[in-house]
Amino acid sequence: MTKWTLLVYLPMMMELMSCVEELAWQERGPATNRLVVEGSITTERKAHTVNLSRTTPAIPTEAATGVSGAIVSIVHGTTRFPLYEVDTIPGLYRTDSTVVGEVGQTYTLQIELGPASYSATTTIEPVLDFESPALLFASPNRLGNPIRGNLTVFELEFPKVRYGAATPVRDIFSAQEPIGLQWMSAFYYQFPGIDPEGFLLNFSGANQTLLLQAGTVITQTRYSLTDSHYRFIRDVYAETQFRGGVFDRMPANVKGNISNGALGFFSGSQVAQRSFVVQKSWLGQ
Amino acid sequence: MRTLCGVLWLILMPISALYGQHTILDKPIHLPKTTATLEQLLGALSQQAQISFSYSNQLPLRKQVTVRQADQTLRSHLDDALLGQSVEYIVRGNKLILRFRPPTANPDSATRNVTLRGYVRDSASGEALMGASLYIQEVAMGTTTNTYGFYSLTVPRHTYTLIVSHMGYRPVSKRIRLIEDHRMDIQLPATTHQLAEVVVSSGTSSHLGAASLLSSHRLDAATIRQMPALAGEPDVLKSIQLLPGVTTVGEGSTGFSVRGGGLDQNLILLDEAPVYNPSHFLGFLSVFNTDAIKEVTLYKGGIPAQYGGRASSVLAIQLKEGNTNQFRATGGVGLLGGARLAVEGPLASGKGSYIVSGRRTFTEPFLWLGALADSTLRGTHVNFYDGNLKLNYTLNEKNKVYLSGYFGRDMNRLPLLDYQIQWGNTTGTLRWNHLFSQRLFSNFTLLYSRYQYRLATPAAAVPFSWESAIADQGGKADFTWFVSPRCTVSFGLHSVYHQVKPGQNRANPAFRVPGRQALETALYAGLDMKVRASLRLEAGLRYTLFQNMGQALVYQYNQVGRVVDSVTYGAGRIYHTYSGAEPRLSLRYQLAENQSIKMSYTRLYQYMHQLTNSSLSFTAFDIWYPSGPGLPPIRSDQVSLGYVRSLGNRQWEVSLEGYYKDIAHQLDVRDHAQLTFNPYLEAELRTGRGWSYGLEFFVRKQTGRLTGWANYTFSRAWRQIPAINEGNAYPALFDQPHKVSLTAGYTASKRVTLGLNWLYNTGGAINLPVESFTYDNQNVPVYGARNASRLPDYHRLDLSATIQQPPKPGRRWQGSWVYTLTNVYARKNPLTIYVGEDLSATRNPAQPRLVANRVYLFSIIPSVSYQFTF
Repeated sequence: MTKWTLLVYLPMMMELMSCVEELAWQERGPATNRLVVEGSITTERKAHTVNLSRTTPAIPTEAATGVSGAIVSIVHGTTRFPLYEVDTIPGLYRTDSTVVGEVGQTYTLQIELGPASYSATTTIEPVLDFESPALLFASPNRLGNPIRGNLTVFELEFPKVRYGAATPVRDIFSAQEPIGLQWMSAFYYQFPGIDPEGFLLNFSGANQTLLLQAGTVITQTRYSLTDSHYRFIRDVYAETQFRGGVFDRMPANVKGNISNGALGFFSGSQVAQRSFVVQKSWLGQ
Repeated sequence: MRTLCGVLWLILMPISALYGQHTILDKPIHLPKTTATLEQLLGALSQQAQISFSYSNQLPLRKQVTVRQADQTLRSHLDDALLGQSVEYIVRGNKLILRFRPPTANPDSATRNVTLRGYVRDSASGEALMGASLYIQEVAMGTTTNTYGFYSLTVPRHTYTLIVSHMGYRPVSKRIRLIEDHRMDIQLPATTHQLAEVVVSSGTSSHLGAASLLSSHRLDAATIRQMPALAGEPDVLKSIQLLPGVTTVGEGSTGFSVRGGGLDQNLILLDEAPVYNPSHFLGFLSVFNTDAIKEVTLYKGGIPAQYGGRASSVLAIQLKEGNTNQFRATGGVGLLGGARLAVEGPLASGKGSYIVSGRRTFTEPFLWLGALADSTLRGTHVNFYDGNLKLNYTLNEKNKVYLSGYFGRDMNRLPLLDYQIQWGNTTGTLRWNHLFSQRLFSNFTLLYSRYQYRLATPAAAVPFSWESAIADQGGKADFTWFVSPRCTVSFGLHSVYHQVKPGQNRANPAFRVPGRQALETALYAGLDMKVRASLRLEAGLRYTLFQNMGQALVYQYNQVGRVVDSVTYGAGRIYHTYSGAEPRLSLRYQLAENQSIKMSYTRLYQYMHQLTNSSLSFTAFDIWYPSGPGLPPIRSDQVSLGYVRSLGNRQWEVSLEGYYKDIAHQLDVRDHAQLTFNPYLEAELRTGRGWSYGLEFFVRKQTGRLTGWANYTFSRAWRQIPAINEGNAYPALFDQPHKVSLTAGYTASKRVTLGLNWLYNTGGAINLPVESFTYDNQNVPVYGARNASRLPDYHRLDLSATIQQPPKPGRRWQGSWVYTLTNVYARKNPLTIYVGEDLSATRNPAQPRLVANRVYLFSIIPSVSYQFTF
């Protein structure tokens, strides 16, 4: 069932059938070739990365190209953490592996690219405490029936956004799937409040899943989001994952926190992590 | 015995004399229509009637008199000839004596005015007819009935020819001798099958021509039912959308914009009570059941002073009163609208009447069948129901009361999404018509209206919901003073108490948007005056007062929308006031008998606002919010100029009208505004300026086998709001420069009626991306100027055929089948276009692609419905 048939089909049933067709597209203007920034600083001790690219046509025919040759650094007070471009991946810059952000501190990303300079500032907010792991199996997550051929292995489907959190976070779940023992991961955001268009389309299209059974160990990593980062992600979702429903909001540009007309976002997050074992009772067994 | 005979002789003698007088004066006389002296006329009458006249040569015998009507009684000929003269006539045997009227104690009594008043009704149902025209031929003046079918005409004592007419009814001509105040109720028979046999004399035509209103349209239920409708369900708002100057956003929506105004700038009144969301089924149908509706009037400009509160238009919907003569039922069954039934009949021996109507969808069988094929549909409920009730009762000649109400709910439960949506309206009005005098009509109204919706996720781990509501309670006192046939004055006082609960979340009060209360009061006076035979003036002034009242928590924001403080006001305390005067002026100048020009100016204030950030006009989650310290009222000023002409003995009416509207404090929301679950709602709002202009060409054929209208509208609607579109002007969402619509009904036979609609309009304004960027592996669109792109042009043809079952003697049941083809040539009119993942039927899920998706709601829809009356 497509996004549109999901709601419109239901009320109209036999009478009306909504349809989606591909439309021949004409680009409406040359790409401005603006700088796009995607970077973060977290409380993890690791090499933090910043990716620089350029805007592309509305329907790009190829991936955005990385922007090389920039001077990139993250500044905390008087401390400057330089980022160096990865030789094999144009446009990807990273710090050394010892950089750690601190909760409550403010960090500034600075980019020098030719004559132009760009900057963005973020603060690391404390992360929301974990809730009971059993809630992972409650709605709106969806535990499907045992997969065909194996009565003990279930597929857990995640929404794109879980609504109603006290503060916004991003949760990443990873586990070794019980059949092929491959590592799988899935994530969702938790947002406060409800965006009607988002809730409606939360399970439209492809959603991320984990295969698991009783005894599977799940590692959950949680990232805090500042209010402006949450709003940025919310707007990105409204323009991408949640575009195409009857409650669509007015299309509008997503505003990031990069100066000088660049697009994208530089974020800061506290990171918390835990692991837990899937209980048989959570699977309804 | 002798005494008894004497008494009988005394009684019968005068009667006999009166009978003789009656016989002579009522003798039919034919005179050619001409102008002659009074003496010549008397000579002709004497010859024709075989009687002799006796008169003094002091009488004004050389005065020119006109014979306007060739065939009438001797009395009528004399009354016409002596109109305005101090001359009277008396019968003596076979002789008529003309003499000067003797002076009386009260010199005014001879020429004293008398008042004719009463109601104009449908002869079959007894329904009062609003806007019926009453025209006195001899003085070339007249009036129209008000909303309740009441009229009052004050004229000098005389014998007159009164012609009463109303569209869709046979005109009635009455000869009346007015010597004292008199009440006369007039019943008009409806024409059948729209085959109006209108025979309109030139004088009547003149008056009717003057009554034609520019900037307004009136549709009755029969006209609405005759138009082809989506899936065979006739609908008031869909019909309105076919009129010039009215646009909508998206297919299948009840939302509409009038002359560039916002979707919330239309005051929708159901028997005087405001309706805040007129949508069923997310807008595919409106909440107004055509079985219960008498007529609909849309005012786009030149709005009478009695109306106010919205910046663009007034849509006044009148429910039927119910049949005062007999019990009747009407109903129907259709796939989209479900089943509907309306019953009506007299109350208390014809002193009153009632009508009760209801509708309900029956999607359950389809959902049940769907669930067999797709288990995810189990537990799904998608339906609506509504009901109307109206009672009226005549207490006595001067007092009448009306009680009317509406209740409706949309219930949508989608377990697949853990999602429940409910919304609905409740309205009620209690009205009392009181006649203070022959000429002073009054109406007192108590009204109630409530709109609410609820969005819930009952199966969520932490269930939560969002509820929003607005409720109005108020009263109105409206007076109409029929000063003379040349002048009618209206005045009144309205007061409405608004209670707004923008948003509540029972599970988490942190998301609650503080409630608001406000008192909206209006005092108005209006004048409708025929300044000269060719010039009519309608002027009015409405003064409005809007007071925010506690209890309220009011946040104060800085310039970037951050909360800097808050103030709590106690219950009942008035903490902010807006006020404004709304002048109204319309001038209509009659160029000739069948053509006139009209110009109007209207100022309107709007204090209640609908907050929406939806790109379509599905309005279930919009929030109504009042003006307050940080949100000024919208003020609109509109001027219009038009020309109207009737052709072909008033079978055709042609009009051309231009307008310009300026809107101050036009409201919009910032990009990506969050309206639900946001206590700081006002920080999302932005105000600026709006303006629109246009030209509307309208042709209407009102009688004959073929009826309908065609119109072309050129219009533009612009907004300029700081902080939106970088402060640059941008087209409004419903800016559609060119619109053409053609609506026709053809009565093929007594049993078969055909209908046709064809619509065309420029594609609506839309935001389409000009480039994109990649973030978190998602292709995020980048837009250029707001609404700078266009959807493809919209056009659609609908056809319908209504076939009545042959009547059977002795059977009251009359059934008809309505066959409809919506979108005959299956054009896929896009509802929207967006760039995103390929969602078409031909997509390959394994290889997701980014494409431009065109979304359309339907192509061709054949449908059949059954309607009945008994």
